[in-house]
Amino acid sequence: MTVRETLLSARDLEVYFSVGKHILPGRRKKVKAVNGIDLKVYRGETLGIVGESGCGKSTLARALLRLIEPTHGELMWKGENLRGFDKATLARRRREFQMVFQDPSASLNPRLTIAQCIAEPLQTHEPHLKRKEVERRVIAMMDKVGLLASQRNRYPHEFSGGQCQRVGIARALILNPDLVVCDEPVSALDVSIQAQVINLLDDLKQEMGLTLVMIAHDLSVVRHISDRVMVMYLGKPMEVGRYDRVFDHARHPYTKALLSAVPVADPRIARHRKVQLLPGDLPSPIDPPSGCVFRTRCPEATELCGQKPPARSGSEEHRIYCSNFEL
Amino acid sequence: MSSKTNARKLSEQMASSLEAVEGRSLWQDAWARFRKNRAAMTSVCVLLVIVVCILIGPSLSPFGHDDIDWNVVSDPYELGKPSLTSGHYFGTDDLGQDLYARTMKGGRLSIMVGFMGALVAVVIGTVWGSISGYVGGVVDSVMMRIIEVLDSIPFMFMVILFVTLFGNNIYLIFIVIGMVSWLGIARVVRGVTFSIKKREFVEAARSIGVSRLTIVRRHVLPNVLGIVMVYSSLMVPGFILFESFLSFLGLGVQPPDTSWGILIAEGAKTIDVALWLLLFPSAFLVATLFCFNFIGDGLRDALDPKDR
Repeated sequence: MTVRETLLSARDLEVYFSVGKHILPGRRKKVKAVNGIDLKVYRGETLGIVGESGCGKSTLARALLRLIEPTHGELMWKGENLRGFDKATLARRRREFQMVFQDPSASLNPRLTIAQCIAEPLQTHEPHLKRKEVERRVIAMMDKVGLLASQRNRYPHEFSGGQCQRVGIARALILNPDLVVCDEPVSALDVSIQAQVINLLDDLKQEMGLTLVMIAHDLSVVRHISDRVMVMYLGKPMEVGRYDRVFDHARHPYTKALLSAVPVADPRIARHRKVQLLPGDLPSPIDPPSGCVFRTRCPEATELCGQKPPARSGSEEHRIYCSNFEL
Repeated sequence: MSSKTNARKLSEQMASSLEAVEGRSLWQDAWARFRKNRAAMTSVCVLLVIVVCILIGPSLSPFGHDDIDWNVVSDPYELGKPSLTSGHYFGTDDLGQDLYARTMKGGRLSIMVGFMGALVAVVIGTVWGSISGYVGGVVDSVMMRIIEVLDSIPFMFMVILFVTLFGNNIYLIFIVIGMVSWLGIARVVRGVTFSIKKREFVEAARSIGVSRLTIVRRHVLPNVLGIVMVYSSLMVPGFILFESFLSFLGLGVQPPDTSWGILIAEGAKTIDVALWLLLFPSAFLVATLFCFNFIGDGLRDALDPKDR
């Protein structure tokens, strides 16, 4: 395998939020939304991050781009320390990494036309551009994401969710970023539109040489588009690796449970399938279980799981965080 | 099948060959809804008539607002009754001063107080509230505490203090109203800014790298403006009333200058002998207040169709 350029890497990334009303900020309870994530994003790949609701996926996405300041850990962007960037540098460098948001209509300012929405990154980072040139590039971008140029003076509320998401994608891509983090880009859309938007992202990725981080709670979305996958649970990684390894040779009990719950279109197969149900709910991230955070719901949990953090095994290709299974 | 795709292609070609379609902004939508609101539109018309009256009205009367008509002074309640022939359309007061001219003159002051109060409130309140709400944290706490301190000073006490210190002066009323009027609106704007700040499009702007000032100007303020408009249009009658109240107590403008509040105060004294002295200024004041309230309601319904 060729050596690939690491675009973004995170080491031991933690994002804690203080909650509660204790007088001393240090004594307030902490929501451990992201609790020790290591990841690498290589240039040109698509990294899928999956996990159930509330496991810290969106927080992770924002922390990777410093939209939320991480509490602890290391972030490297193209070999530079991303957390060390000062405000002005960060604002300038933001053009290299963009984000597509979950709720397409909420992510567009209702008072601006979609052309103004799409043009905003250009005006921010290349303020010297002439109006004609901005318009030309906006129209070119709209064409790329499958929007009619004649609709550029319309407002977001005049569009469907899928079209709004195309606007959001156009806005993220107009500066030719290296990395685009998509925070559940299709979960708010109809199923029929989801495929269109996913395909659009995949096409644009090939065409523009993008790197994608794709966050989803829907395994089929991630499976369709990802080169590598990370499975998260309660702010921690469970299983990471190439998508075919993770999906076809899942070793972690949590990944297995997730995969067994994916709906199958064929009822004859579905009837004989065993769905691995997990007992209980996601524990509170304020007070996560000791040892392995998944042990309270894990069908394979032993006493040992509560005593020490899960063992890491495997390689870059496929890695799991579990004391009972090894690669 | 193929004819379908052909038709689609054709329609797409047609669509893209057309000039850019103009969208309908939220403001245009709101204006359309406002126009359908009969009470609000009527109020706008009535208010316009009142404003025009006030602006050009005094020149239609042969008397100035402080001219004394010596012909009626001998028996003002009999000779000074409203009549078209004497030129005193609304009658005169007990000094023989023409009520029509005085109502128009007083209206100028009352309405000016209303608008000036709203203007000051909107400008200071919006800026203050949006900064406080958007920046948050310590800055927000300090700015809000300042508002609370200002709000806790007894207002009437301050007015009386100012009047005793600086004498009776119309600008004093503007200053005093300006000092307190923006407090409420600043709170409202801060609250709305808080909720807008959490919306995804603001986060999107941050992820693009837009500066804080531009985010406030471009993304926060336009979305706050609707509420500010509603709030300020409902504030205008409050200021008019407040000025009337001050003048009624003798703390506002002094004769021969006048306002609706003063005229009503004077009219109230002679209610049993000269009803017209109370009737005409009150009618104007009430009409104006109603208009502003209906316009405010109309604006609220138009700008916030979901919130009902």
